[in-house]
Amino acid sequence: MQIYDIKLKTNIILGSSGYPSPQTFIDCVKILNCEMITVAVRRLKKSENNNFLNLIKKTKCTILPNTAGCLSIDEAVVTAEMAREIFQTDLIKLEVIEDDLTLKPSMKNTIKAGEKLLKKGFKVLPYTTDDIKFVKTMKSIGCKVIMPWGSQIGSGRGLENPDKLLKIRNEIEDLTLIIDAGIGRISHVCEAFELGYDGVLLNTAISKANYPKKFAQALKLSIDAAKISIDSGLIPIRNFATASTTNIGMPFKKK
Amino acid sequence: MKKTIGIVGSGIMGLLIGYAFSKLGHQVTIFEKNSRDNFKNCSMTAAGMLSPYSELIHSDKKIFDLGYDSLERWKKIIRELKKKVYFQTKGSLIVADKDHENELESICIRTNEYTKSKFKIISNKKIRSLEPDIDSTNLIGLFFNKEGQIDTKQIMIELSEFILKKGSIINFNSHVKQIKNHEISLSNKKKIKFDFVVECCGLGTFSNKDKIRGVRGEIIEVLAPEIKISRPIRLNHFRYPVYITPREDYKYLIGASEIESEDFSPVSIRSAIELLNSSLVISKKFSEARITALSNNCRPAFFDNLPKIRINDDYISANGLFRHGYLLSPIISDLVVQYCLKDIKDKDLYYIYN
Repeated sequence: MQIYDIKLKTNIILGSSGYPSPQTFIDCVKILNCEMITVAVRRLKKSENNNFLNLIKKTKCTILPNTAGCLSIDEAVVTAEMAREIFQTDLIKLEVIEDDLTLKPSMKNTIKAGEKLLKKGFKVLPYTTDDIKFVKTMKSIGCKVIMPWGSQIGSGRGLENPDKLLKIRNEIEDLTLIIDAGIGRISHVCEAFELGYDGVLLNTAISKANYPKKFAQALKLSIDAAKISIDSGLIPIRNFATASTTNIGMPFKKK
Repeated sequence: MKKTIGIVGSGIMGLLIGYAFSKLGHQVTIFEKNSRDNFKNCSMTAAGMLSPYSELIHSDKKIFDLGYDSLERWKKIIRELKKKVYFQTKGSLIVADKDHENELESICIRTNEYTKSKFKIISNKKIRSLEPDIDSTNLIGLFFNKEGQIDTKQIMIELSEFILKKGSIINFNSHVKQIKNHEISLSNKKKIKFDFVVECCGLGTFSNKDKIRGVRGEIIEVLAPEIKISRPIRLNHFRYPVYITPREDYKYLIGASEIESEDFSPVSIRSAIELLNSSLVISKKFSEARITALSNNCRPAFFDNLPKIRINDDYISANGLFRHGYLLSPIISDLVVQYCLKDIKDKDLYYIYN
């Protein structure tokens, strides 16, 4: 999966918060061979001694800082600039939400913040809804990776509007599209790949599982399964029944 | 035979180890870098909940294994101290909105699995019979009857007094520079040799500095004479896990944020709003409470969030109690004493050694 100039072998981005311990998170990263992890910047202060960050840096994963929790354009831009300074990266997962309750991305503010950040040389990965207008505008302003939601953050409801997501995929063939948010089950991950999405970004589904490492193992298997099955050439979806065995000329049929 | 024990750090860990050794008649000297009146360690900021069951909301099962008999250990300590310390064993509640029953259900299943118990979700009526001042009719909950709490400031003072009475020493304003072969070097160049030196100074630890991290916590103290809540209550809002712990004289502690950053700056508005807002969910009467203190500190934690007893040629370190200082310090203290005096390690608890 292509993230601007970086090529990832594992089509997954992991969020780093809410795990029982940082060690559990690191273990999950290893189980998944994950190469990109996202870290919330808003509450991190640039302190001389932040061993949590040092631990994350040691994983050698590419760090994708995010602007989680930002409610305004300015807040998001300042957070992104802080992230660039702390992590020495131009990558930013842009998340400008409408309100604290639904955590729904604000279309107006995400677009404006995106424009500002792209101008400042950031490589922006915006978190959007499944509204095709929203996604297309992010493309037109110059984002190379776009991340529509499956459903609300942390809801575990999966891909609520697969038809809308499919339409986005069909109309935007040349960009990397990642399902961000809403993943709760392994089946949701498979569905994202089956719709033709390049990758998934998830956090809560793993971090809040009773046994996060077990979920990570299942996730690894499911990504492999989805990829192999897609490579195998999936049958088209039909509106009529097709018997797997033809019944013409069956010699032993009684009636 | 009487041993000499040097302890670096006078948080709850240092004091309990000091208490255990002086009770047995050994000579203890505690070194504390702060002054007596300016005590800023995180044991003083803590709420002092003794809640091995409720902690499973966000902790490893091992926290339960280590902390499940914490109440009994504390009961014994308080019996032996023969002092009046605000210490309760009336259980504690986890409450959640009816709409989030599935969240509560998942906590219940996990807790039952980890602890081999049979807890069930209790109704709003039952909650209000336990705590009549909870005024929301939308809350349901879990009642963990074997949990308790302790007043952290009172117990710290009583433990210090006990240690001093036994003829042991607490040196304030003393900066330990180095510990070598159980010999402490102070910043005033004085050197003191002990039979054992135990280091428990949290983030100020002498070794493994790159393995310990500070996790910021913020807590608010309020005075609410109109409310009578007798047990710790956790509000399991899926986004803001907040607790309210009663203290004597209508004081309540509302805590605590948990932010992955070694940030000692004062309490943020966002955290304060989140914490205070949550208190209103428990009882609207909290809106007339008075804010008496906003405190913050950083909890020392290793990457697996479990405590460690590290043994090397120079000293023994007991550290990384994270958010479980009061829950786990009694057992860790007993293990340190057991190791020093009998050279025994608890095989079942292999994961906390080195």
